[in-house]
Amino acid sequence: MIYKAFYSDTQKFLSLPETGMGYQVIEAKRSGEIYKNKYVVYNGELVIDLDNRLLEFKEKIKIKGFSKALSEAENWLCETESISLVSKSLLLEKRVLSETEKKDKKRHSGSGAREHPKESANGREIFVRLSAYENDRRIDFVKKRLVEGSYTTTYLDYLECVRLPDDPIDRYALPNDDPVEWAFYVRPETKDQLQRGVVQPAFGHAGGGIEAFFENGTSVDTYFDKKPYGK
Amino acid sequence: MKIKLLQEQIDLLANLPETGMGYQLVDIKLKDGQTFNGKVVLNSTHLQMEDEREIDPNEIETIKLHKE
Repeated sequence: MIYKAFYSDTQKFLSLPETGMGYQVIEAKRSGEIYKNKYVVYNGELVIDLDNRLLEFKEKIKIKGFSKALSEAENWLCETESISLVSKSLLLEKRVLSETEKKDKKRHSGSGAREHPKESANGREIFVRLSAYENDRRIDFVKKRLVEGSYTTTYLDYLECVRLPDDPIDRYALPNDDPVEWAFYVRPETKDQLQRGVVQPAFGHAGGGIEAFFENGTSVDTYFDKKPYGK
Repeated sequence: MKIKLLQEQIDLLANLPETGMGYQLVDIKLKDGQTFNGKVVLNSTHLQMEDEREIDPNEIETIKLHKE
């Protein structure tokens, strides 16, 4: 839904920093409810539900024009004192797949890699880093290792993505619309640690692929191959 | 619009953790005081600016990982 904020809510919005140029992502309680819902606020006065219809509503506003959309909007009935900015994990636009779509595309549910405990690699499992760039900066081509603080997917999830075929930009929720061109193969040693999880929705993409985060990178000589994506 | 960062900015970001596979969310402050938060940098190299806004990387005073 599209709403217009009351004056008191607008004053509250203006007292908070923006999330991005011209908008804020906030949480607030609707009058009489216990739980907070999430909203996107434009120009401190136009409020949209942050759900899987967000892009549809944004398009409506774009077609009508901001002023007309505002004049036709319903009043936003939320508790001003409950308004707060949303944390980083929900800053990015989401696209949500239906359960059928998730099953068809073999997408997973769960939290992101960094929310999971560290585990040691088993020395046999292969991980794949996908990139639009042949000179991917997270691969140390000299020492043949993955650099600290880098993400990959698993070889199995990559194979699934290629086999289906699924869209890697949507599966791994990448912000870059340049096509994924390269797959870099890494086999960490048993002393290398990783955190394993599910890619969260972001940048208008659904996520749901498997991701692995290597806080300390991988050992020397663990990077062993580079191939064009899908080959 | 994609803006290629300066080598020292690239080197800085290449030594910081990613936000996701192949990208980092960063906060930028320009020398004139303007700030841009939560911007995407690809491959530690290319800053993505929406609305085709152009930024001269020489005018970037600080660039750091985005904080919530």
